[in-house]
Amino acid sequence: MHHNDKIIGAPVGEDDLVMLSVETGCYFSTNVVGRRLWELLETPRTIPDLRQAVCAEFDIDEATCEADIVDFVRELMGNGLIQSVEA
Amino acid sequence: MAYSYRISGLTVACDFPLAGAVATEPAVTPDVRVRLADVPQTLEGGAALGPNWDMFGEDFLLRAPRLARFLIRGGREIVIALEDGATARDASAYVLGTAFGILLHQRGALVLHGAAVARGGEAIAICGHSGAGKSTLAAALCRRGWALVTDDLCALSPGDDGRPVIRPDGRQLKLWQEAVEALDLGEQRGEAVLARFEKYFVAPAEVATEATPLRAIYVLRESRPPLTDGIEPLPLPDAMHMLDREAYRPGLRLKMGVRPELVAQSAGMLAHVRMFELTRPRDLARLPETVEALLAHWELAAA
Repeated sequence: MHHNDKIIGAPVGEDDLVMLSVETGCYFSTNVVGRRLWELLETPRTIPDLRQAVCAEFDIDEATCEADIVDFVRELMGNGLIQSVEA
Repeated sequence: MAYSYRISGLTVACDFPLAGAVATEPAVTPDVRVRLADVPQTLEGGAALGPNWDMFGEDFLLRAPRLARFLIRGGREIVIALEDGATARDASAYVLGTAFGILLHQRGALVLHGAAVARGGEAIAICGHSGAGKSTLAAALCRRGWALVTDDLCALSPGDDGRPVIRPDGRQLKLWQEAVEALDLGEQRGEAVLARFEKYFVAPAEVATEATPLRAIYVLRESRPPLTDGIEPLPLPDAMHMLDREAYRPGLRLKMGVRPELVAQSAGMLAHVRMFELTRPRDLARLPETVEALLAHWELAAA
């Protein structure tokens, strides 16, 4: 999966990120881990790719990490902020 | 002869006196020239942004029916052609308002529609829709020793340390007569904003002269059931949305700007400035309560 083209992301300070869905005019925000995931999703990634990257950078166990990533990705997809691509 | 002003950090030379602006010493090379001359009815090859607005490259044409046409060029010049029967005095409010707002957008500033006041070298901005009571609350804070920074046009630009700063919009407060009376400002009251209009220019006791870092923005909201009085921080997505809404002429800002740049500009600002919703009664008799709540909030945030 990767970013939807109709989404604008912008950093807020050191940690946070805001995203604007150009289609709906809605803003979303996320914290430092979400911001890192967003950066990673500039190029298409799989869930295991994301888990590996996040576990390497943040102090979190793999099972929790994957569960959180799945939740985050589901949320982004539900709001049309990212889309899946053919492998 | 030219009349000189300093508005939002820019030196301005104008062919005629601008009602409501505070005159300053002339600059050798003013940043902005305001002059009376012919202006076309439409911009050749331009895009119509609205019924009374055309834009072409760095030129922006604004038509105010029965008043004047304003050509705002590259953030440097405002050319005004008065319609029959209109006077330059009548055009002043438009120059200081919409035309200057567009000029600041052309220069890439983030411009909020709001009053700002400062104390101890830091400022707060008070936003809200027209008639929400921005100037009245600012005037009440000035009565409590705050300095006026802006009454109307709150242009933000990055300061030396990255924090946004605001510069005085170089004008007096505009207050309705009932607010002048409630705040006992009769002695500072000047001429009417427009003829036959119960709104007056009022000179504040103290005016900020320097660029002042902005600490917080308060968006005014009237407390009607089920809303209750209070000051609540706005979560990031709401603050972003509110910045779009509280921008000066928000529709024009979105049409004149490039969306990703505007989003980055707002987001960059929110890294330094906190945004709150201030819900309070509009009743002037209860204004002192709002002032106390705001002062307490400010002290708490500073602690």
